[in-house]
Amino acid sequence: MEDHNAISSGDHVVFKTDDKTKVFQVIANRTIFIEKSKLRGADLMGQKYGTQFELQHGKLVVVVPHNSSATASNTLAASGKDNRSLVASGDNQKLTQDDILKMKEEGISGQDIVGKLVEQSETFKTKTEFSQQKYIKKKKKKHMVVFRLLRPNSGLLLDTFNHSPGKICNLRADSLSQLLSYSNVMSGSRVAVVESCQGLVLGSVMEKMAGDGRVLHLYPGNDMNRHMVNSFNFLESQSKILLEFPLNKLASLENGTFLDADQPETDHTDPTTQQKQHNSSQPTQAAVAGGDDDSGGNNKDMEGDDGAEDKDKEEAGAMKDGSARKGNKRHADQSKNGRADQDAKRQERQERVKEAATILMEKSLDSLIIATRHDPVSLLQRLLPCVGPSRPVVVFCQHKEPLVECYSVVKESGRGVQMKLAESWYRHYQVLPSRTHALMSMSGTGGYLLSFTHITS
Amino acid sequence: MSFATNKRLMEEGDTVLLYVGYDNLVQMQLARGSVHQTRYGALKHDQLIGAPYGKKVECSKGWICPLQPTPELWTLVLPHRTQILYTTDISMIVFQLHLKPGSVVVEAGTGSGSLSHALIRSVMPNGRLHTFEFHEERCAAARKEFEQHGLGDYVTAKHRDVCAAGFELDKEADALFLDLPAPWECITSASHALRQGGRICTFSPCMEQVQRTCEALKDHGFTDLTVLECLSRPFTVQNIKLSYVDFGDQTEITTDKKNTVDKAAPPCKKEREDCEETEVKMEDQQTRSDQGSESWEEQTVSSGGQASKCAVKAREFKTGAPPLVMQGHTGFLTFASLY
Ligand SMILES: C[S@@+](CC[C@H](N)C(=O)[O-])C[C@H]1O[C@@H](n2cnc3c(N)ncnc32)[C@H](O)[C@@H]1O
Repeated sequence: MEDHNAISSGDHVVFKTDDKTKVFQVIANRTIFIEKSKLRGADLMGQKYGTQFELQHGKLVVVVPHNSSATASNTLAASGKDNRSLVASGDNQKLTQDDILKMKEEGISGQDIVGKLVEQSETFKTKTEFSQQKYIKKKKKKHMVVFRLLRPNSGLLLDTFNHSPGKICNLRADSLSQLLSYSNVMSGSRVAVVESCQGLVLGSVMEKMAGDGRVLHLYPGNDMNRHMVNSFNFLESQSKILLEFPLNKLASLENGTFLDADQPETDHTDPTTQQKQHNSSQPTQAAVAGGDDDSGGNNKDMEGDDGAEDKDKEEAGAMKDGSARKGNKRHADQSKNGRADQDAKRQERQERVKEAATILMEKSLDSLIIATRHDPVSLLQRLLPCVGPSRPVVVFCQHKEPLVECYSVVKESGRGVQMKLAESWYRHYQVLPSRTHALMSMSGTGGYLLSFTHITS
Repeated sequence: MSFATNKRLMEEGDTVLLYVGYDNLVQMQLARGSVHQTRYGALKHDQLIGAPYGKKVECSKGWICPLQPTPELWTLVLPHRTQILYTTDISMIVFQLHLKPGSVVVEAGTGSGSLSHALIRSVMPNGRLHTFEFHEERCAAARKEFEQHGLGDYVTAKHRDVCAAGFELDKEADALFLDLPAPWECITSASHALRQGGRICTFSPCMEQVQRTCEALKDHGFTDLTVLECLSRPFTVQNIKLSYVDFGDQTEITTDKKNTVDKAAPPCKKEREDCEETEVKMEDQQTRSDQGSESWEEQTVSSGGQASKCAVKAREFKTGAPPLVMQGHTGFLTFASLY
């Protein structure tokens, strides 16, 4: 599946530096902001995934592997023994800000600028080797933009929320990974997912299934945000397994009035449709696909924010993977008959909802995953009957108390075994010769996870 | 044949996990005519064959429940031929190796196959696991298990010393995992086995091993090195009562003790079962050094007891109590990419 390894139009691409991970979509005539520099989507097309680039004077330059570390160690020729002669006031740099700006304008590479800074620093040679490395690292970060372009996957997409975990209920790599294990999601599974993680959980589940099985997105009437699904670059064959069902129709499904009734009124509340309409009213947003931390307003898209640009991303993503649903219709009637287009979309949506309803009614889901900011206790009580016997249920919550309640409810009902309520502890290390230690700061919480196996009597 | 797909009914030859009360899960292979003895009475295999998974079965002295195995449950019951990895680490490994259906993944050593089952699940049906083990019987036992579990088509189990003989794979692996004493010794061969953009992970209990591994990884051009540790902290759900202190106010307050004294009577069987369930067990937490694991039982608080009928004399609440002693370390996971 990794055959053609070149970035092509419409791809979502992960941009990764040492401490930042972002995702944006590549469209030929769209502008992408990378660290204050403007790039055109077309500049990235055809580049190989996995390539490391340095941004030099607004141009992409491929970084040849090993180069950078070699240069760095060369500059470490002389160093002091300790910090005894260290002067507190900065690094006594002879180069001025203007000198640096000028070099940049002349197109001198960040690597060379860092080299010059080291040469022109009066204190550099008196620093310990350790401080020298730190100095270089700091200067590199400031004057060099080095990054890799990668194919998205659930791990990398999760990383795009590293600085804003609140947007995905504090879901962390350890919690997401365990959620995916304990739910036993695999190719062929029929999985129901309730989530408020912008579609990241849905996408991660779909990634494990490769187009075989069904993923039912059960969403609260007013909360269908799942734009991250588009960032996985799923092929049509992979995205067609995604169905949806609005939870405000669950009661009618349970009492048997759902399938009889026409469901035109669901379409009024269809957030996808709403979003579309919303979008078409502000087409200019489509010009910006990404931003940069320092550039202020334009960084929402890459951060995975649910700002306007994301909606636009969803739109664009839909067009692309759209081979899938919205898009292929667009193809079909190239006439600008929006009416027919909308009708077709509505029809497709109704079919997905109907299929989801049928699966729910069979009460034989292979797994149930709940990871939302809504009350998990009531969700669990209502949805547990839809899960088949001997099938796993996983409930993630950023708070412990609701899961304690879920645990009690399930235990009292006698419908769960192998129950486990846990949180995990997740710590990273710096490993360097003689300087190995745990990182000075670590995440304090990644949420809580309840897992069990559903049984019947 | 019971791992590869979700099954509704049990068939002869299936590996079935019997849930026999809290913290008692056993595996068995269904064979016509066989009988399995449980603490709740005898169970004829014929009774299970054709019956649905996950439905309680009444025995003479209580109920049991047959479950279809998943890699997570298998990890809890598998025969230990070596020390094994548990679900917390396994999840992280699978996730950070970016495995998905179609991936080709390499593992050494196979050990008891605890990790292997999870690896196979994530790359099925069109991917493959190549797993290596230099202990011949262990390798054969694992191979037999994969067959029995219906996973034979997705895995190649080879008997080989990978440090000496290498993997003999040429840029075909998407990911590679090492759980052996000297991972640094096979990094050269690992770097040949991986395709461009491939991921590697090593598991080592000691930092000295990590240190050497990291150096070897850097020397071979691996980047994005990440070293991390991940531990699960399980909670016991308990009803806690904290009695109020008598401040000598005029309103009549009897002490909490008087009101709950009837609880000293031995609980009926049903209640005892409940208590058992709320006791925390470090399910997947046996440490590699096999430390004792009784201490947390002390903290079990009487639960399930009815609140006194008269005015509440104690603050009652439900809590998830952390264990007094928990797993403090399993190993360090080192991840890196090769571009
Ligand atoms: C700790 S066990 C692996 C456990 C496994 N990860 C699991 O979860 O079941 C390590 C295994 O690696 C094997 N081993 C050690 N060195 C090896 C080598 N050079 N080549 C192949 N196997 C090796 C050992 O025989 C042992 O079975």
